[in-house]
Amino acid sequence: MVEESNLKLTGESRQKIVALKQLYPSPRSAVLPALHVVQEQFGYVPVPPMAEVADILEILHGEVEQVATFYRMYHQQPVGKFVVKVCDSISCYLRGSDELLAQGQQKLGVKCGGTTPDGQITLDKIECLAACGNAPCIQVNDEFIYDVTPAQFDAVLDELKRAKKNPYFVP
Amino acid sequence: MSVINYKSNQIFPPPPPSGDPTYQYILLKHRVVPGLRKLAVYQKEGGYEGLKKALNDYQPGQVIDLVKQSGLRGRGGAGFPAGTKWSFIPKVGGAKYVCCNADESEPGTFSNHELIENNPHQLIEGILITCYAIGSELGFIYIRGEFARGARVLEEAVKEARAAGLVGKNILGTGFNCEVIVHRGAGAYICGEESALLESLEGKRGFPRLRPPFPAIAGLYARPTVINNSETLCNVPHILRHGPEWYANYGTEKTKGFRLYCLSGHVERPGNYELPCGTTFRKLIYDLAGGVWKGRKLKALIPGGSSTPFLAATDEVLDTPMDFEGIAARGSMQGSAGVIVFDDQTCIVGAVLRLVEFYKDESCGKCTPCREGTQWLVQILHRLEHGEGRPGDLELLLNVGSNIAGKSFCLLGDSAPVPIESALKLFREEFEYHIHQGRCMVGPGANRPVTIGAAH
Amino acid sequence: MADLVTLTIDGQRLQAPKGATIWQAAKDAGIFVPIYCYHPKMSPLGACRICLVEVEKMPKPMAACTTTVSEGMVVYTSSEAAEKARAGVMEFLLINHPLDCPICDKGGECDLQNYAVEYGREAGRFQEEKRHLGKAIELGSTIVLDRERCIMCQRCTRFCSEIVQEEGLIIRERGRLAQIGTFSDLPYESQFSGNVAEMCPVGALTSRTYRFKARPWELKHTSSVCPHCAVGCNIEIDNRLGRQVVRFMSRENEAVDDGFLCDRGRYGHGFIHSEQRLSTPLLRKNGRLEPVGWDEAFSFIIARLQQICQQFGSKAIGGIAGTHNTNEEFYLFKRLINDVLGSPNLDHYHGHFSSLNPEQVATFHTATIEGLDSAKLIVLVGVNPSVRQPIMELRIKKALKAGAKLIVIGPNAGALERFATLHLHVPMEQFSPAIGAIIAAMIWRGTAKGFEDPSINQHLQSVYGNFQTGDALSHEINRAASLLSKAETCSILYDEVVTQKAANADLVRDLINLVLAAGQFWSEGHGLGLLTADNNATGVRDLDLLPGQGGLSYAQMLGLKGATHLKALLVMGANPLQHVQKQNKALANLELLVVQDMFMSATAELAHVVLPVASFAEKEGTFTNWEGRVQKVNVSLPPLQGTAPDAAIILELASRLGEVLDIRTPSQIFDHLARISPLYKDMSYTTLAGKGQLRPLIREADEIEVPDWLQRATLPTPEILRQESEEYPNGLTDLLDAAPSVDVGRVRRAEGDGGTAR
Repeated sequence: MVEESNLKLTGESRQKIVALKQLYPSPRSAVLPALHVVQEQFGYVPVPPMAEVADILEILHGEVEQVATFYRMYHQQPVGKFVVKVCDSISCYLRGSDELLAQGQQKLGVKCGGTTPDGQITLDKIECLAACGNAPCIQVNDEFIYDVTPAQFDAVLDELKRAKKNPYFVP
Repeated sequence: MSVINYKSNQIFPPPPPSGDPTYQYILLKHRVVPGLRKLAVYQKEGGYEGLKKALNDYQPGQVIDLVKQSGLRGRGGAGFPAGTKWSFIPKVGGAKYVCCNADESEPGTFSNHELIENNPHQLIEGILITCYAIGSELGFIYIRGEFARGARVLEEAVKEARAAGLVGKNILGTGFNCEVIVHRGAGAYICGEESALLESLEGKRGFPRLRPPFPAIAGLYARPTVINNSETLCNVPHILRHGPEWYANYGTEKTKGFRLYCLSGHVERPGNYELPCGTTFRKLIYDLAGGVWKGRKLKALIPGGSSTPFLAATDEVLDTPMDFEGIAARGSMQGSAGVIVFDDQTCIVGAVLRLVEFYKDESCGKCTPCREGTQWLVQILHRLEHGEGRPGDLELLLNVGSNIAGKSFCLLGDSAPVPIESALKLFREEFEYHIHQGRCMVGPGANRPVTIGAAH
Repeated sequence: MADLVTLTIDGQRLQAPKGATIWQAAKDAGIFVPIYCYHPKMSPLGACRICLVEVEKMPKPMAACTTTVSEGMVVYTSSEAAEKARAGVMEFLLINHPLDCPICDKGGECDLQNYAVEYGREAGRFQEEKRHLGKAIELGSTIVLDRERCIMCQRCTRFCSEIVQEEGLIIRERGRLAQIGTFSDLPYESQFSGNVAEMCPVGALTSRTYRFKARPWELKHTSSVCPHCAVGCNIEIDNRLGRQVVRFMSRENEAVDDGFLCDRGRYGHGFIHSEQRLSTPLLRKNGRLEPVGWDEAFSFIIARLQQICQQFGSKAIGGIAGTHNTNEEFYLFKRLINDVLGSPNLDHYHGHFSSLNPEQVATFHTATIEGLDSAKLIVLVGVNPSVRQPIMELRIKKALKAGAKLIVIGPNAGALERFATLHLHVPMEQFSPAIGAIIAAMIWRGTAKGFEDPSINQHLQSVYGNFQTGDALSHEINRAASLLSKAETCSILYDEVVTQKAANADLVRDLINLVLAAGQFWSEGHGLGLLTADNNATGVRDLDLLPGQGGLSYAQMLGLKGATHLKALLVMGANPLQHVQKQNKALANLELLVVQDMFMSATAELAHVVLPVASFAEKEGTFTNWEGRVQKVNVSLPPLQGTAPDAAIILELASRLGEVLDIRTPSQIFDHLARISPLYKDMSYTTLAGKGQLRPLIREADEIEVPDWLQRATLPTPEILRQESEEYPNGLTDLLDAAPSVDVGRVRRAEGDGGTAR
C-alpha cells in the first residue's frame, strides 16, 4: 500500500494539467478536467495530487477539494480495477435494473458500493446514464453496455473477473 | 414501420420507406449514412454548408433573424425561442461565449447522447454558427462526465475540423475566428441547470447562481453568454442550409420543426424517434414503437422527462399533440421530450419513490428546502413502499412537497415533488393500499408480502 | 431623486435606493425579515430561504435578501403565503437539527432558536431518523465545529473565500451530505478565525475560549475599542455578571473594521483577569520592591519630587508616556509634567517626521480606512499589516477585490505580498532613495496629476529633477511611476516604525512629495497614511507629548545621547528599557523612577515606585486610531481591587503637589481639548459615542502652498545616512515582523510569561 503522502503526479499528468491550464481563459476552469487526469493516474482522487493541481492552477488547495467532493465521478477512496455501475433511475428500474443489481451483489459477494477482495471489481449503482432507450444499461468504468439481460450481465462480470484491460472500450 | 429504434453500437436500421415525406432522418441522419462521424462523410452529405452560408451570405444579425424566423425553440425543457435568446446578447466588444449544454441527465432523456456520439460535426457546426451570430470566438461543449466516449468523439471531430480550417483562425478564409473546447463534467445532474453549468465550467461546485444577472449579460467569466442544449444547436446548421421556411414547415403553429422524442420504459421498441413537433403520443407509442411491451395495457406516461407530471392513459391524452402547448393543456409539460411509459403492472408507489430518490441524490445542497425536503420525502416514501406507511402520510407528502416547490433556489427543488403530486392525483388508491395493506396493489409486489425495511 | 424607487411593504409606502434588496428596504423601514445566509459583507447567496416574502404579481415567494426592489412593487412579509413559506423553511432547518439547545453555547442568542419560536410550527411532524454527523470537532486552535447543528448558510466558507481569501473553511460533499471542513482535515488556523464563530447564525461554530463560559442572559455588554493595535476596531466587551470579561465581540463600524476582528484582538482579553496583574503599589525598600499602601507610595513620590526640585530644579524631572493610554490620560500627564512640575522633558517612543509638528503630521496624512475602498492604487511602504494591523489586511484585500492595484515597497508585506501588482524589493535603508527615484521617473513621464499644478511642478522639479536612477530597479521604478501617474485615486501607507531607521528619518518628506506628484493631496480619504502599531500612538502625538523648548527627548532621557542631568523620571504605561541596553546607566542613576503599569516590566523592575493601574476595560476615555478617528471606551467593570486608573493617579499626584486640576473627568478634558486644539475641532465627548469621529483635516480645501521644509538640501541617495537620527540599540530589531508592543506583552502574559504590557 502506498503512503498517501507519497502520491505524486507523474510528469505526464503534470504536463496534461499544465496544458489544460493554458487551454481556458481562466486557469481555474481546468479543475474538473485536471481531476479527471488525477483519477486516470491513480484510479481515484487522493489528497496530495489535489494540492498539486491547486498549485499548478494557482488556486487554494481547499478550492480543489470543494470541487472534487461535489462531483460524483471522482472517487475519494481507492476502487476496484473495474467499476461496474448499474443505472437505477426510472427507465432502467422499469426494465429490471434492481434485479441486475441484486444479481451482481450475489455473484460478486459484495454489497452495492463494495469491491471484491481481489480489488478487481467494484459494484455500484448510478443515477440516470441517459441511455433510457437501451434500458437497463450499465457502465464498466466509463464505457456503456446497453440492453443488458441477466445472462449478459453474468457474462460481463465473468469477463471482468479475469480482464486486464476494459474489454468494452469503444474508441 | 417507418422509424426503427436506435441501438447504439449496432448496425443502423434501414432508412424509412420513401413516400411518407413526414418522416425523414435529419438530425439522426447517421442512422442512414454510415461513417457520418467522419468529417469527409459529413461534408459529402452537405455538412458545413450551413456554416459556409452563414459566413458568406449573412451578417451575424441576419443569422439571428433567420433562426428567429424558423421558430426554433430550445430543446432543453423551457422551450425558449433560440433566436430571441441570442438577440439578448449585448452588441459590445470583448469576450462573449457560447456554451452547449450537453449535460444530459434528466431521467428519460437521451437524445444528446446519440447525436454526440454519432454526428459530432453537426453539433460543432451549430456552435460555430451560433458563435458567429452573437460575435463570440469561443464555444464550449459542457458534456456530462459519464459520456467519456462522446467527449472522445467530439474532441476527435474538433481536431478534424481544425485541420480542415473549420475551427480556429480565419475560418473558411472569412476572417472569422472561433475555437471550440470540449469540457467534461464529472457527475452532477444540477450542472444541466445553466447557471450551475457556468459555475462548473469555471471550476467550481455546481451551485446554481443568482439571476439576475442573466447569462446573456454576465454569464461565463461574467461575460455575455449563450447557453443552448445540444439538440437545439444541432438544428441550426439545417436551418441555415435549407432556410427558415423549410424548417417552419414542420411542426405545429407554435412549436416548429422536428424533435427527438426519447421513448423509454414499458414499450416494445424504445429509443429516439425523430418526428415533427406535435406528433401524438398514440402515433409515437402505438404506431411507431409497437405499443406497450408484453402485450400489456398502458397505465400512465410521463411526457417530458422525470420532472414533468404523470399523464393518465386516456384517449384524450394519447391523442394530444406532443408540443409545448398541447401537453401543457393536459396539465403536464413537454420538457425534454423524454416520454416514459408505464404498463398496468407497475406499482406507482415504487416508481414514485425511484423518481424522487433521484432528486434527493442530485440535490446540490445549496438551499434548505431542496436539501432537507427531498430527503424527507424519500424517507416517507421509503416507509410507504416497505409497508410502514402511516395514516396522514399522504397529506404530509403533499404538504412537504408544497414547502419545497416554489420555495427552493432553482428548478430542481420544484421538480422533486412533481411525481408525488401527479401520481397522488391519478392513483391515490394505490398509495392508500400501501398504507393499509403494507404491499402493492398491482404488479409483482401485490402477491407477496413486502419485506419490511428492504434495502434499496 | 432618480435613484430611488417607491414600493410598498406590508402596506407601508416607502422609498428605497435603486438596486437595494427587499430585505434592505424593509430593514431601513423598520420591518424585520429574518435571515441566515445573508451577510451584508458578502455576495448575496439566497440559499437558506428563511427570508421568503410574498411579492404581488410574482408566481412564487421571493427571497428578500436577493430580490431587488422595483418601482411599484408590493411586498408582504407576513401574509399567509409568506408565513407558510417561512414556516416550511423553518421546519426543514429543524428536522435534522439536534435538540441540544440546553447544552449549546449559542443557546439564548441563536437565530435558529429565536426564529423557530417566532415562525416555527408548534409540534414537529418529522418522525424519521435524524441525520447524524460529527460533533465537537476541534477545527484548529480556536474553533470547534458541530456538524449536526450546521444549517449550511455558507457564511463561514464565504468569509474564508471572499474576504480572507486564504486556505480556510470549505464545503465538502454535496446535497444532504454537504458539510463544513478544511482541506484534507488540516487544522483551521487563521488570524481571523474568530469571525466565523461570531457570524455563524447557529451553534455550529463556537470559540474554544468561550465554550461553556457563560449564558447570553448573564452578559453585560459594553461598547469599547480594541486596545491591541492602531486600527481601533470597535468591540463589545461581554462581561459575565459584572465580574468577568468572557469575550470581545465585534461592534461593527464600517468606517473602521467592517464588522470583523482579528484573533489577537478578539481573544486578547485574558490580560484583564491575569493573575500577574499588579494589585498593590510597590515601593523599593532595602533594594527590593515591597507592597505598600497607596498613601505611603504617594507620600514617597511627592517627598522625593520636592526634594529633587529644590536641589536640581524642575528640569531634572522628566516624563515618558506610553502609547496605550487614553487621550485624556495623556493630557493629564502632560499637564503634570509641563505645568505642575514645570519640566519640558516629556516624550514618548515614536517615529521621525522631519520636524513636523503634530498638526502638520495630521495635515499631511489624509488617507482613511474607508478611503481604501475607493482607491484605485494602494502603495505600501514598509507596511506589514498581517502582523501589525491585521484588520487592515482584510480592508486592503477588499479594495484589491474591487479592482485596486497594489505596489509593495519593502522587504515584507505578509499575506498581501501575493496580491501585489508590483513588488519593489527595496531594503529599508533605501526607502527614501526609492521614493525619490519614483518621483524623478514621474517627472520624466510628466503625465501625473500633480504636475498640472505649476507650483508643485516647479517644486518637484527643483528637488527631484536631477535624480539619477540607473540601477537594477529602474524597470520596477518606472512601472511604479507609471501606475502612480495613471491612478485616479491612490492611498500610500507607510509604517511609523520604518521612520526609526536612520536612513528613513526624512522619509515622510519624500512621501509627501510623492503624494503631491500623484495629485492625491486633495483626494478625500486618499493620499498619505501613517500606520502606527500601538492603539493610541496617534493620540499621544496629537496631544503633543513631545519635548518642549529645551526639553529632553526620549533618547536623551534614556541616556542614549550621553549623560543627562535627569534625576527623576515618571513613566506612564511604557517600558523604555525594551529600547535600550539592559545595563542602562541613565535609568539606574535616577533618584526617582516611578512606573505606572498593569504588569511588572523590565523598567518597573528598576523603579523606586510601581503604581498598579486599571485596564482599558475598567476606565473610560478616548483612543485615536491611525487614521485620526477618535473613539470612546467605556467602563465594563470596576478597576481591579488595589489598582487605580492612570488619570486618578495623576490627579492625586498633582493635588499633593499643591495643584488641584479643575479639568478632571474624561468628558471635561475632551471637551476642553475640542475647544483649544484644531485637531479636535467640532468634536465633543458625547458625539464620539458610537462610531467615533474622524480628526478634521487642517487645511484649506483645494489650496496648498508647498511648505519650505519639503525642499531637500541634498538629494536622497543610498550613500547618505542621516546624522541626527535616533535609532535605538534594542529598538524593535526586526521592525516589520514585530507585532505592536502591547501584544507582545499581553500575549505573553496570557501564556504566563513576563514582558511589557499595558
